[in-house]
Amino acid sequence: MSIIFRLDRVMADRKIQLNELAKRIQLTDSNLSILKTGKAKAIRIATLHALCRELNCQPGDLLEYKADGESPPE
Amino acid sequence: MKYFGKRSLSSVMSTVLNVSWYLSIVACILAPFFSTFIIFYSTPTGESFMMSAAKEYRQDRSQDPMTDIQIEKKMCHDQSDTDKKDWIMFKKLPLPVKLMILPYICGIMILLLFIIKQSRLLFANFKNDIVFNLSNVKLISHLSKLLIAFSIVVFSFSTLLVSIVLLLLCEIIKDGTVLKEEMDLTI
Repeated sequence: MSIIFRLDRVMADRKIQLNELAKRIQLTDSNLSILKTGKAKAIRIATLHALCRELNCQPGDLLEYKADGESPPE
Repeated sequence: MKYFGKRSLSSVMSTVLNVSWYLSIVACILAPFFSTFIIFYSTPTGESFMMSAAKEYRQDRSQDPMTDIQIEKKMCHDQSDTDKKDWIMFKKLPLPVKLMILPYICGIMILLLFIIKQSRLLFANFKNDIVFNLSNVKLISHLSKLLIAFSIVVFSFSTLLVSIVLLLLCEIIKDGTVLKEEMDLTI
């Protein structure tokens, strides 16, 4: 069971760079990169709120649940 | 009081341990020679050699030569009764038993060297504000095992207690490292 973070997909759709998004939500580039690469162990509600606000999306657009053995829907 | 980081208790301890490290190396080099001298001096041959050498030295320096008893009394002047008894008992030991003291002293010095080395590395990490880290967990674990060995060698109960406390601290820092990693990866 795992939660996949689809930040890179949403960022590509909105055509926004990592450093620009980091500046807008007041995070460091390294922390946002940790989120983007899926190495984060947890995300604060405040960070999720800021991401959804800047990317104009829903939390479900950023987070995807994948059970073991399933392939994510396209 | 600041415990970690620059200009803290850890930096003072780091400096102290660095100095102790070099002093211990010098002591390790000198200890076998000193021990050999003591063992040689405690044998009848060595003692008479040293007494005659001291007598000749005093004859050269003064007009009034001292007898052997006077020289021995002067040399033992500052010793307590317990020390004198220990010294007499040590002199009576056979030479092979006395020679076994050399590896014992070497073992103690080597253990001390390792303990000081691990402590140096640990306090260097504390000085750089690295507290909850896997390397510190390993250092404290090694340090506690070395202290257990040291307490067995020197028959010290207080050292054994300290080593047990360090083992517990090792577990606490291990848990702390996991929590810190989770916190660092919480965005």
